[in-house]
Amino acid sequence: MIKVYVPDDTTACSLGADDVAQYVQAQIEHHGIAAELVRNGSRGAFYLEPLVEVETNDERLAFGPVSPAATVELFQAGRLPDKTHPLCLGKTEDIPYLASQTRLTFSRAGLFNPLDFEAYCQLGGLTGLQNSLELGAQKTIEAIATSGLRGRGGAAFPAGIKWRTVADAGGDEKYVVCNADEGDSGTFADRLLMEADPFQLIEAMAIAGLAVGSTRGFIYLRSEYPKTCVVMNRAIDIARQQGLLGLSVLDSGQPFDIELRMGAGAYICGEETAMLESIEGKRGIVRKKPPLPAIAGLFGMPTLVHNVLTLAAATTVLAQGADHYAAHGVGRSRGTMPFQLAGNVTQGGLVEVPFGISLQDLMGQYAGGSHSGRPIQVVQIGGPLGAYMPVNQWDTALDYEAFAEAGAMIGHGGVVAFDDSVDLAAQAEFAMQFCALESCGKCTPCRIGSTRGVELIQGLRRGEHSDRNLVLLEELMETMELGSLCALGGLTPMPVRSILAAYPDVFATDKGR
Amino acid sequence: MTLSDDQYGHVIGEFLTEHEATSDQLLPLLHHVQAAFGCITASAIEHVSQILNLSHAEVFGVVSFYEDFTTESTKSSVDICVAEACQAVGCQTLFEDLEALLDKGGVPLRKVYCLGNCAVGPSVRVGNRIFGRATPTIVMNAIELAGDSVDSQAEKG
Repeated sequence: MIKVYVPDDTTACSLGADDVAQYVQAQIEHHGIAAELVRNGSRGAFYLEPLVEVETNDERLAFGPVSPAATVELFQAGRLPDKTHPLCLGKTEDIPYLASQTRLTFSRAGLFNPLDFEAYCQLGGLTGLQNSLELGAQKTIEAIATSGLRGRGGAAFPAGIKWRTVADAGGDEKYVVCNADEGDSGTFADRLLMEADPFQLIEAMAIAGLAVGSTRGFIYLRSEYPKTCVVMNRAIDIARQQGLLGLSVLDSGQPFDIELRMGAGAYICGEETAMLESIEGKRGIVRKKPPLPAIAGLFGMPTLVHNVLTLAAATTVLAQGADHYAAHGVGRSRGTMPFQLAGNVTQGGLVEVPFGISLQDLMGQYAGGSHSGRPIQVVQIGGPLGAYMPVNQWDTALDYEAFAEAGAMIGHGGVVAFDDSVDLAAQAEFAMQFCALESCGKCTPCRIGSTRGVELIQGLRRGEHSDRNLVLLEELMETMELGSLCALGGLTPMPVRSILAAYPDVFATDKGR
Repeated sequence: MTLSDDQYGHVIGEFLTEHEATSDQLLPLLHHVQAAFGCITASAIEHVSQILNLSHAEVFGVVSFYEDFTTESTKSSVDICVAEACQAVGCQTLFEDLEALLDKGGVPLRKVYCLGNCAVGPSVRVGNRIFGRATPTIVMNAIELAGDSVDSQAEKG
């Protein structure tokens, strides 16, 4: 049977994929073609969406971007479109954007209907969990440690140490909590994974749960992702029916189940302790650490908290071996990182490559220049709390340590490009404004500091007492960095500092020089 | 519109058929109430706090903390993303254009921070649909379509 794929993904649908799917179905019926419409996940090459694929026995051809009008044209000849059509991109797997990536976590994304459990298994799903069950808990944790996997949410904490800590902690109940509160602007990898390959996350949580001795997991998903919520909930139901979740995971005799909880529009709930408060039914207020969540987390019990991508990577580690995973990357940054190209780029999308590639190569090979046609001046990497890096800093290797040395961070891997029309003084002010807006209010440096920061930068932009106010801003940022309870207040100065370092006159350019 | 105790009882009862009445269910229950009534009024808070054995203040505290919960019912808005990735592709200009266009129609325009559609901004949400590479034309057409479907539902209902 010939299959025609049209992604059912938030971004693909934002560009008209639902309409395209309807047209494809109508054309198949109208021309009486023996073909079946499949709604797959997205490959992550979002600039090609809606990406229509036609799969015959010997090849899978890609067409894109396809508008509803173009859909009719694709089928004009009364048969399935072929290689000669102008929108044809050749075989999907040969598209350079995709072919040159090292897809470990996203190897299955876009290949199949994400809720087709059989297809998931045929494409290598469950291998990680099966291997983990054979290895047992101790050796599973060893594998995670050996792989060098570090937290992909931003903090880059070694995952093996976390798993070991939770496993060794005493407690009647332990929890695995997946942080899917992907609030950083410029990031969408968690969403893409959950919409394209939801069983992988479920499998990963089962591996983690059984390894650390937990029977209950939570996925905390931001409410801005309603489509993801539907897919994930259906996948959890199917996983229960298939014995991947429940009283005896894959007939191992060990129980594990997952519940999805929706956030309610608070950026701060992406901070792990605020997220735990939120799951407990409270305001998303940050907790002071220690105790670490690994010792006393959800409901006061030992809790393994990981970002979606960290957990998902665990399936690769277990399926393909810790050494295979660790063979990718550089220094202490092992494995691959799914970077997300966003903002003013022509070829926005997900790029999973090993750590160590330079920012220059990442942008040069994949971004395809700016969307506006003007030269790209700067990228902000690592979300709203990440540094702005002008082109002359792009030789920095994408490696946790190299970035820390440069006064920047990789964070969750979001890369937002700005062209030369960007007003960096305004971006610096926005960094403080965003913190003021999203601060939970518990600690003074963040709650008050952010508002004072906005006022100071506004004053500087008006050219008021520039020398004195720059000193004051410096002292304020130091207080926020050293005195804030969590990363929101602690890292808000990073974008401001990076702008000031690269453009010392940034505030003088407005007025009153 | 004043809602009766019965209406709250019914909606909360619906929730309790699938969930336990424990305090950690507060957010799921508030989502349920918000979806059913379009807001969470003082009497809704009273009902919820009794069911989950929480104080009125605790529940109000949670309602007031999260953006998704409102104490008064508001007209459904057009949400425009104004976070960095959309700033980089001119969401400010789009915001100003839409503000001028929507002012006449009385549709509220709301700034939101990140819809997760950052590769193809600027992004705008109308109802539950997200639009990438949004332009004033795309958004105005979407509002018209959404309005039509609301009207036709009202006619049917």
